Amino acid sequence: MIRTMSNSEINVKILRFSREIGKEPYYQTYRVPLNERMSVSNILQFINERYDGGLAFYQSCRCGLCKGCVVMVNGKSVLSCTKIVTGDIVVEPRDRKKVIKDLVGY
Amino acid sequence: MNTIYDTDVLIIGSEGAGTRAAIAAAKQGASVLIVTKGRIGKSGATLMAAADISVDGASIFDVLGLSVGNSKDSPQIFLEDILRAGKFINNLPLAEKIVEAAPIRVKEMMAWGMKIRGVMQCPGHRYPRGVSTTGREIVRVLNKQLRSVDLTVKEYTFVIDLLTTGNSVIGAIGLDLRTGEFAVFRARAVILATGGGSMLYPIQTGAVELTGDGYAMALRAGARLVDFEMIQFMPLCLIGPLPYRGSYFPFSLVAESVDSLDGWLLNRRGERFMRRWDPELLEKTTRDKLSAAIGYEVKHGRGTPNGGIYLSLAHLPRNILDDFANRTLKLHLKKNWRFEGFDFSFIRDILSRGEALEVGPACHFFVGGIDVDLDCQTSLPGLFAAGEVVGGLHGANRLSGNACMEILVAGEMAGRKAAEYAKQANGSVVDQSQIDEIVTEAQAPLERKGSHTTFMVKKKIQERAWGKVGPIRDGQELEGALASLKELTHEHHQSGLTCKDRVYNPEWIQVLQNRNLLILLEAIIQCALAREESRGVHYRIDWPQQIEKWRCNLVVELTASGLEIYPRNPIE
Ligand SMILES: Cc1cc2nc3c(=O)[nH]c(=O)nc-3n(C[C@H](O)[C@H](O)[C@H](O)COP(=O)(O)OP(=O)(O)OC[C@H]3O[C@@H](n4cnc5c(N)ncnc54)[C@H](O)[C@@H]3O)c2cc1C
Ligand code: FES
Repeated sequence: MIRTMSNSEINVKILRFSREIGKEPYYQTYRVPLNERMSVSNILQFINERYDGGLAFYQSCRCGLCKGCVVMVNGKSVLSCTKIVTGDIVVEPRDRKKVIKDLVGY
Repeated sequence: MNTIYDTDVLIIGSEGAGTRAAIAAAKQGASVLIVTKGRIGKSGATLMAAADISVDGASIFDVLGLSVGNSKDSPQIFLEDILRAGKFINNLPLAEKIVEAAPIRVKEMMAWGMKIRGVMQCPGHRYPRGVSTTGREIVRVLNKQLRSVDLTVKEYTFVIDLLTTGNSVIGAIGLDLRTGEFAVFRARAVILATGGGSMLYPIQTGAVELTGDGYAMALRAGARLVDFEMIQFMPLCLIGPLPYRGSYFPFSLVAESVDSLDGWLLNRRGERFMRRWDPELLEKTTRDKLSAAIGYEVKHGRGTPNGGIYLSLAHLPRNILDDFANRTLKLHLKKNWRFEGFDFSFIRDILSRGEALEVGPACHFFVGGIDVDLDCQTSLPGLFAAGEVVGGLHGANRLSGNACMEILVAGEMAGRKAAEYAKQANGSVVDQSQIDEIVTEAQAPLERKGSHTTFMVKKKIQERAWGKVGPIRDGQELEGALASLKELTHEHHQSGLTCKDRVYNPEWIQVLQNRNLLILLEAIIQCALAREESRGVHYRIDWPQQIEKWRCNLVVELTASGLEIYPRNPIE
């Protein structure tokens, strides 16, 4: 199959927030191996399954159709399912005023 | 304290079938509440459809007024094709009713502004019947129409179970993901429009919400399922890299319509193995045969390193590939090789170099489902169902375009009939102990210190489903799988949450979904084991032939002693 990039690790810095806990939003950084081609959604799912089961993000179609997975990556609005990751990223919610939890918004 | 919502008609699921039902119910004057796990217009399979909506050729001409219709076709001939594909175990009266109303529903969608791109002919249809549009367009038009009627939508609400009194359904209970609190819905009628359950499998074409909650809730409330062993796989999907896993792009290139490219499937020895399965049609055979053949090759160690099979276009001159992107009708494929949201020019490059793609089957559609009557009512008074969650129309296999036809026609029927039912139903009192029981069970994982994570359990369920009730099945293996389900269920009950948040907690959502996936898995295993033959999408290695005595439906019910499976003659 298609191989991309050599073995490497990237920093994924995510703006976390939960109404429930009432803490101010804060950044949390994870180290994620990038040995194959991955989208932002793949990375978030990896973190979810390996490091932090509470990290909230929205996805549905996973192919760029539903437009439900919009987040800010390095300051730019992207669809997390189609955006391919090539290096360190900062991930923030689409609209900081409308956050339910982490990257999930109203 | 749980929040309580009162409505005449509660609709669970906010996409094709759900919104169409909502419009119909609201037009009858009923108060309508739609709840959805995700977001409206941003969830479910409908918006992902390519999409063709089937209408018989004569009506395309007579009713839709399109010159591309074909008066040689008729509703009768269309029905024959549906029965042929469904291997004659379809619910014939239901199919008749849906085929008959399809032209009216599609004409109405066109009047509401749905743009169409032509009419295509897909495999299994003897005439061109696929009114071509996109799923996004269907969703756009339905949502526009939804805004013209009076109703309420509640997003981010995961419905966990139905509420019953006697055997009547009188509401549902859901988890409001935004607050982490439970919501009680009191309704005179409930419509399940929760779509399919393709997330039971590790590779799927559909959306992440589709964990078959509707089937599981229906069973727990006492409703019946039919033909649950009938799972349709999309044979030629990308199996990697990760972002593209489950994309049916390769299928679109070589198999989607009668006009697709000629692609060769090769095993790791370079053998064009479809010669053994269908010497005449080869790769142009039906989806079920392709899926079974690929599954068989992989199972016998003749697959690719990543567990797929090779798809080669190396025998074609390169410019045929480029010209293809310019002429195709149904595809999301654009001239620059963008397909859906992806840039697949790297795939064009791979193919242009004469290299093969690694492809494999992905779970695509639940052919069977909830058993309904001609009013879309289940065996439980007050519970209706529409869309992919229903079984019967397609029998043992579904033709292209017939799911989108079903959501529009059955959605309208279910909405109208549920509203009529609600008018004469007495409001019932919801039993608090029933609510308490559901809430207690749903909250248990929050308090548990588990030995497994809920994601680990999901992965195991998916692997089991793929290995035992994927495109090929085997009696002995099915028996083994059934016996080992206890262990998996035990792991599920032992799984705890590492994060204890109530608000939008992915682990909590997952454990509630695992509860449903496990029921789905058991029902499919049991049905697949019972059906000792191969029919439609159900392929048994140890029973490769279709056998006349099995021309029957398998019915699933949940009793006090567990799942019960029994045969029933097809409804004619
Ligand atoms: C990629 C793809 C392409 C397809 N192409 C075609 C095609 O060209 N032609 C065709 O006829 N068919 C096609 N199909 C099939 C067809 O799109 C679907 O069968 C159909 O759209 C299903 O519609 P639905 O309304 O029943 O369910 P969906 O559209 O899947 O909607 C299900 C809804 O239920 C909600 N839900 C689920 N569980 C819960 C719960 N527990 N609580 C609350 N809400 C819940 C979801 O959030 C969602 O809103 C395709 C399917 C896929 C995946
Ligand atoms: S998940 Fe649907 S667009 Fe990204």
